[in-house]
Amino acid sequence: MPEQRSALASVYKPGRVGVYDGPAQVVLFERANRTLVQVSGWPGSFRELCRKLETLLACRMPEDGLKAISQGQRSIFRVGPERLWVAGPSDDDLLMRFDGAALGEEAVVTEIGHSRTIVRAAGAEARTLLNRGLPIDLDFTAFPVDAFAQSVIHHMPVLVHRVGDSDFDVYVARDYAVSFWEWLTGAARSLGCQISGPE
Amino acid sequence: MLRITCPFCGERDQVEFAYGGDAASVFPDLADADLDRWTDAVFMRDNPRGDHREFWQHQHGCRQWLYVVRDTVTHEIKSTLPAREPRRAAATHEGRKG
Repeated sequence: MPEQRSALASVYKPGRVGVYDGPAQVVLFERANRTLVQVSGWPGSFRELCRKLETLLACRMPEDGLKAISQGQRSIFRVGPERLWVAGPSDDDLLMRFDGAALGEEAVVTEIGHSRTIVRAAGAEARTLLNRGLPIDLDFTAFPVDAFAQSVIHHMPVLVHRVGDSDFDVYVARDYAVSFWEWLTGAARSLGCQISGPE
Repeated sequence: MLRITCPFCGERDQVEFAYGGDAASVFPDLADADLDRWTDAVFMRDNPRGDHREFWQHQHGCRQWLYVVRDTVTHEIKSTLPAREPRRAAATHEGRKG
């Protein structure tokens, strides 16, 4: 497989953003070493497919489009009534597992890792930063750890996943990655923002 | 600003949705060559005061098409159903007409 080039390569500059020189309240970095696989099924057989996937991945499948299931380095999102995203580290053997499982016509498995750029926003003001463009209540009571939402920031479709008390992963389509990064770093200027090297 | 409750994703902001047209109009059978019926279906729309049945797509969410009943006076969203459940949608439609 050809080496993946980051969509942010032309704009990614580690260092401080903005003129605020106090402690960084937000840390941003790209999560480049991730893979993403989409598994789509059909209305009549999706429940059965989920049972097979639970055996295959040794974890539960998400019941709804509100909460992801995370296990180790993997996170599973139910992004549609019969559609799942499985995110994992880039050396995860997801595709081999799916290929070997003989899912047949019950599922369409597509590797879509190159189609998304994943950005981690971490720190005390990460929520404030995202809520400058995201129409979702990120308060801990409404959006706890592992909650996720597919929504829109500044007209760009995103999937936001809360991975920790003040850590969020934002999945954005590769086509929008540079525009999203410009918006994100611009919105973070007043917060004390540190861009660290890609993970 | 409307808040629409997607049956899959929960209550969301209108910016995530795209309006998909009037859900009340019924198109003639494709074999029907009657020009008046086609003109009526394609161009003529009611402008009701009160409940209006319409399609919306949760474009930036789960991508599902929804069957929505919206009050044109108050903008209250009275019900949302997946558009692929036509029987439930039709039952909601008939219930609201009565």
